[in-house]
Amino acid sequence: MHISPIAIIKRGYARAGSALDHVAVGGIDFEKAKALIPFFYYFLFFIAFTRLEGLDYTIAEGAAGFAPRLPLFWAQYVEYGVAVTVVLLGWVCTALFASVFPYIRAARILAFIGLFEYHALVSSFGSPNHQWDHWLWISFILIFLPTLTREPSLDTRRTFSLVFWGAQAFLLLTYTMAGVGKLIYAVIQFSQGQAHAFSPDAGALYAATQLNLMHETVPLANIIISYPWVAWIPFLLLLELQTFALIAAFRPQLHRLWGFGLILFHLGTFLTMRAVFTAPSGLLLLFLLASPFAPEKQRWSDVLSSIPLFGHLFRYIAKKILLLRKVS
Amino acid sequence: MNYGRTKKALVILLASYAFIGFGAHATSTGAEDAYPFFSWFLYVTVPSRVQTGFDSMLVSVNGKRLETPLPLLDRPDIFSKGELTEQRLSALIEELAYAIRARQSGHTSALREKLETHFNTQASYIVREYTYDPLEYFKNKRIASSTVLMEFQVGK
Repeated sequence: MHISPIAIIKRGYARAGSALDHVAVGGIDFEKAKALIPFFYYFLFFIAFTRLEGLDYTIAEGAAGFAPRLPLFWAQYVEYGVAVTVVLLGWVCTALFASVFPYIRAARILAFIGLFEYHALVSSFGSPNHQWDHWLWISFILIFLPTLTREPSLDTRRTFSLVFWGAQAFLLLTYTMAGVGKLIYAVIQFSQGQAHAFSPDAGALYAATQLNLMHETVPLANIIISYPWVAWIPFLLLLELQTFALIAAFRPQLHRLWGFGLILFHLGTFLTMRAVFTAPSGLLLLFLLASPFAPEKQRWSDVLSSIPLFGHLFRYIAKKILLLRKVS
Repeated sequence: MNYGRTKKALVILLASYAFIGFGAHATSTGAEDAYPFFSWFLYVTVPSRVQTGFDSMLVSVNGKRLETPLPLLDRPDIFSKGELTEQRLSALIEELAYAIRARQSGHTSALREKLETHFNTQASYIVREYTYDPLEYFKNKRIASSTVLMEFQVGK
C-alpha cells in the first residue's frame, strides 16, 4: 500500500495536534503559567545587566575577526565600540521594559529584538555562539502569547497554555536533536569498529579528550577517567534523557524529572569535562522544574511508568510486586 | 491569533527548526551554520581510543645535546612563553606540524618565527607527532609512539 509523504505529514500533524490539545487543554495551572512568564524577562534582564558590566572589557577585546551577522547589518556603518554599546544597552533596556510589561506583546517583541542583536553580536566572530539559542527562540515563541484581559476567555487561556507549552517543547526539542545526533553517530562509529556512544568508556573518552586539549582538570575528571565504567550508566541515562526529551513534553508527569535530569546533565558535563553550557539551566528551572502542567502531587509509580522505553518495564515490575504482595 | 492558528504556527515552527537544523548539518561543508538555526549535533562522535598529537621538545642548548628531550615549557630559562597560554602554544605547534607535513616552506618559516621569538638562547628543538590513549595521557602524560617531523635550530 502506497502512502504519500503529504498523507504521512497530515497524519503526523493530526496526531501531534490531538496530543497537544490533550496537554494544553488538560490540567494546567493557568495562574502559575501566567505568573512564571515575567520571570523569563527578569532573568533576561539580570543576564543582560551582567553583560553590560563587561562592556569596557568587550570593547577592549577588539574587533579582530568581527564579521557582523545579518541582524547587525547596521554595525558596519559605526565604530565597533559604538555598536557593542548600542547592542548591550539596547538589550538591557528592552529586557527591563519587558520585565515591567511582560503581558504586552510590543514589549516582548522588543525584548526579542534586543536579545537577537546580542546573540548576533556574540555570533559574529566566526562560528555562532549557541549558549543563548534557547533564550532567543523562546523569547520569539513568547511573542505569540495572547493579550490577557481581566477575565480571559477560555480560548485565550488555552492559547496562553499552548504558547507556554511551545516554549517547553522547543527547549526539549533541541535535546532530542542532540540525542538523535548521538544515536546516528553511534551506529556509524559502531559499524566502523570505533568507540561509540554505548561503549562503557565513552564518557571517559569525552572527558579525557576535552581536558587534554584544554590542559585543565575539573573535580570529577580523575574519577571517571580512572574508572570509566562509573560514567557508563549516567551516560546511557543521558542518551535516554536527550533522545526522548520531546516525548516528555507531551507527558506532564515527566516535566520535573526531565528538567531536573537535564540540569544534572549540564552540571555533570561541567564537573567531568569542563563543558560550560550554563545558559539553558535557567530555562530548565523555569519551564520544566516549575512546569505548570506537572501534576501538583505525583506518585513515583506514575512518573516511572511514563518514562519512554522503560515505562513498560517499570509497569511490569510494579504489577509483579503488587501480585507478590497480594499472595503474601 | 486564536488557539487553532497558534497551534498550527507552533507545530510549523518546531518542525521547521528541526528540519533546517538537521539539513544544515547534513549539507554543511565547513563550519556548521544556518544562523540562527542549529542541529545541536554537539559532541556526537565519541573520541577515538588512539589519538594523534603534536608537541615540541628541546634537544640541545648552546650546542650541548640534552640526555633526553625536554618539553619547551620545562625550561622557562630557555623558552619563555610570555603571553602565550598553553592552549595557544599547543595550537601554534600543531599548525607548525601540519605545515611541515604539507611541505609548506613559507608557512613553516612564518610559524617558526612566531615560536622562536620565545627562545632566550641558542637551542635546537624538534617538532614531533605522537600517538596516545587519551585516558593514559590524561593520567600520566604517557604516549604510545612518536615520530620526529623536523629538527630546528634557533640563534644561528
